[in-house]
Amino acid sequence: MKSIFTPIFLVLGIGFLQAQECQAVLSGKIISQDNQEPIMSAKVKVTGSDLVTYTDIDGNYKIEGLCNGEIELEISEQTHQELFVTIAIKGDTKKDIFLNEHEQLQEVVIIGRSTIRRSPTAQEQSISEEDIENFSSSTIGDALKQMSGVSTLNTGKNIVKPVIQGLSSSREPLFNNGVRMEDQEWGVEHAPNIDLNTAGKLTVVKGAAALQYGGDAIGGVVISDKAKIPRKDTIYGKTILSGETNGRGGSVSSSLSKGFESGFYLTLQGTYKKFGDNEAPNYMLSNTGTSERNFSVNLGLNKSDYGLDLYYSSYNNHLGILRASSTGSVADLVNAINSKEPIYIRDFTYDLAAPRQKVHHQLMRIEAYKNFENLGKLSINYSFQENDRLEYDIRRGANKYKPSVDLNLKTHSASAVFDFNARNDYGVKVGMDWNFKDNFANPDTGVQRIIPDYIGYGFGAFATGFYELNSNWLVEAGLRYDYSHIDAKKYYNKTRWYNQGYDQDFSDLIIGDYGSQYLVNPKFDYNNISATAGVKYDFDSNYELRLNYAMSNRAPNPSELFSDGLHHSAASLEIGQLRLKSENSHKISLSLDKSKGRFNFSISPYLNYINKFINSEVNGLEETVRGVFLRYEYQQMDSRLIGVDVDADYTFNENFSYFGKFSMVDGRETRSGRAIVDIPATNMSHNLTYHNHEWHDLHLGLRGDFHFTKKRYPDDNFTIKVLEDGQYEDRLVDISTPPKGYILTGFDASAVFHPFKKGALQVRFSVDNIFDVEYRNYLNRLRYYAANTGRNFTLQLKINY
Amino acid sequence: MRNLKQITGLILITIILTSCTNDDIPKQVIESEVITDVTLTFIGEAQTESSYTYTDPKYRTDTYEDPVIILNSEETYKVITHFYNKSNPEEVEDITEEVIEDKDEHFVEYRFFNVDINLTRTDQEESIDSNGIQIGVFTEWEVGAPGQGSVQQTLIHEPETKDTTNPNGDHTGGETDVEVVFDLIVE
Repeated sequence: MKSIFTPIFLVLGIGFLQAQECQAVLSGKIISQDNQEPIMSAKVKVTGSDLVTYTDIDGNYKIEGLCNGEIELEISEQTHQELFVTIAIKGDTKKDIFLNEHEQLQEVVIIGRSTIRRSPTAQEQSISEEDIENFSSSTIGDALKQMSGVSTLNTGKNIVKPVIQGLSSSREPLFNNGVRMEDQEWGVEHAPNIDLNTAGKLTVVKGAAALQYGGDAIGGVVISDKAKIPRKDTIYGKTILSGETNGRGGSVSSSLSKGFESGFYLTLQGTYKKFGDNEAPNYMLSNTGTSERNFSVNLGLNKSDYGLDLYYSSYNNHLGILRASSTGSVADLVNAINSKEPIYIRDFTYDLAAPRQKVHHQLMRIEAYKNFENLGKLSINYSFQENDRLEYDIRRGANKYKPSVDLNLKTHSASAVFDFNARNDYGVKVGMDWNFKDNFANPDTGVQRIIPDYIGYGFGAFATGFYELNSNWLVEAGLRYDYSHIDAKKYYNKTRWYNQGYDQDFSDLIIGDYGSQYLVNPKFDYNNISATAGVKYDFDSNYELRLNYAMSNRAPNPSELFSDGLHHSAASLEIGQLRLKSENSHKISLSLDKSKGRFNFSISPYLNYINKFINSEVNGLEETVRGVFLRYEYQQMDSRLIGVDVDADYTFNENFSYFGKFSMVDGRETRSGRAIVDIPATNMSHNLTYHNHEWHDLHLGLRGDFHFTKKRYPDDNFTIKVLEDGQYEDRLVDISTPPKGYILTGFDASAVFHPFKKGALQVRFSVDNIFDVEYRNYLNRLRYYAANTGRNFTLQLKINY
Repeated sequence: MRNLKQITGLILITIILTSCTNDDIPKQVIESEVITDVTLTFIGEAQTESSYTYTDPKYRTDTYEDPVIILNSEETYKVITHFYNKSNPEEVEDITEEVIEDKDEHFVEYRFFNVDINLTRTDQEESIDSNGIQIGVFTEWEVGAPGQGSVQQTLIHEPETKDTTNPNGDHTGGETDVEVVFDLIVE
């Protein structure tokens, strides 16, 4: 089947102008326009010569010894249609070629935009499938951390929450295939419930500029999209096997996709993961194993003018939390902090004991779209998700195997978006979304609910648009309105009710009197407006400058409003606050990018003013029958965050290149100048890579991660009196001083082989923390009890078929 | 487009149907394992009995007063400890039974401040754990000279080690289930 193609292209990079005659190198990627996936094993031939090469597993190709001037490329691959493209060679040239598979259009579109941005003027970064695959056995947080300005808030190695430019949790919604994840990841000990292996691409918008994704993303938005399946008769798949020495476990993840010429497609995917106890350099981190069983099914119909997509995923996670972190009173906490090693160390095991968590998250989504010629695209979707969370603490007697927390959150959501995308010089997107939530806290735990039963619903409407004034200037603006309602039923202990002063302000909310408790029915409404405006300037040379302002508002979440309970891992009592108002952020971000030539960089400073910033900090001690506990109460304080993210890379020659990143952020209360707690320490990373195209696409990389000592932090330390040898002694409870900075080194090597007729095998070997450095991270909740994990070797086999 | 309308309709119906379910009253949680009260019962030489109870602040009534233990100097008392769950006043649970039943996992310690008291552990078989450690539910206090001070009592759950070399008790690891202080006057 032969077709005539009309190539439209945009030169991605003209690097080295001084290149000598006939020594030019042409390189780039062959990518499917439909699904943004690299096409491997495609034949790339210079017409009329014997210069031939094949793309590697990541779609890369490279042709050397070219003369300046025009050449014609002939691109073919058995499952793709042949394509001829004319390319102007001017020194070392880089060109990514996008193939548009739309039969009806009968053309190949080669576009310069290698990624489609969620907001053309905001700070945005993404990681591709090939990088995601390297983290197959880790968590989504670990993968996102590869971006500058993204760090993680950990409870050990297994509970990993992304932190974007200093902010996390509710300020950072996560979208899984277009659906906002509702998985109760409010607390530090709740991580996003998503299998990283379902992601074809991960994008982070650092701020609330992408209004389609909600007006409350004060920190940013994480978007995980699955890889699309081409519209042709094809079947392909991949399997990733990973084995790690630390934790003595690994994972296997497999997916199989079938596409049909008719546009029908089907993908099945599954992941199994199992790890035992992790090891710090000098001891076992007992009870830190994890196991995971996930699968997803995706099927649909993809026609050029309409389509339907069904997606279902199930995420099943069971993880242990460091046994030594379960302490009682503050006195226990002091002992733990002052002890060099964790108090509880056992031999390695795969078994999990309390404290542990069991989470099952199911997501179901149906999406339909229709393209309207010369107008745009309408998409509507409906989703249902159910999050089931069980937390087991160390308990006594008959309750030993009963969970202490048993929450079930069901969420229905729907959205309709119209994207007026027919024009190149401007675009407008309008849309609406609804959601309905029902949270049930099972009373059979025999422990008072930390989160109450509640029902919530919300509605949002937005309009965003961009306009390209000329080839240099682009402007963007957007507006969004959100309404949310929460209706909770919560039992308050009368002492707590009075101590909080609620009898003054909220006595009308009481609907029942049950001995020592009141049943209270808070109903709150929040109306929020968010807006964004930005400009982008394209220098005629290789630079781009972006300036974006985003105003966003976030309603307090149920944990901030209602929390009331003990956290064994930090001798703390977490207490919500009914009086909280929405927090309001004004964020200005600037970024200067250079993305052509040997030396590329991106500098992205930002300033985020957050009025009524909701934060939980120690505000005293509370006496209980179990001794004294730290009282963490939610409060609101005007705050500001200022920081900068820097990325840079340099290509020395065809084999060697460098990549580095740096981020720093400072957060403080505006009035008092007091530092905000849990703001990541300044860090940077340097990577040196050797790449050999000829020999099995060999990659060798050396990495150095530098974490500096956190200098600015709020001092919440205090002293308690401990009775020892008949006398009361003052003991410092040092919960604030950040641990010392550290340097971690890593190495990785990968090569691609073709042992089978079709497909490829990539072998990857890596070492993390080569020198087995003992370190503790400021943003690890378990840093009081134990060091982070030590050296780890990973062997990964990736089979594409 | 007809499909779209149908789907939208379906969504709306779902929302409306599920919106009307918040009329039910959630079940009250009666904490089933919490210790709310710690009672020390003193039996003097003349078989006189007196009890003092510390109640968790969360469960105190308006009439609650901090207990002050009053003992006679130069007298020896048998002391029995009781842990109670009185979160449901109608159904008082004696947690001591559970503590004794799981004696390998439990350990009671005492710390005296500013009073002259010699403690010995008098646990019999039922409250001696499998390593021969008296867990400290039953003790004997030999009271010395008059004075005023306090006693701190702790119940440790799942300690790594228990040590009764000093009969007041010592341990490593575990978590504190009870840590209460009684004021103490020796007359």
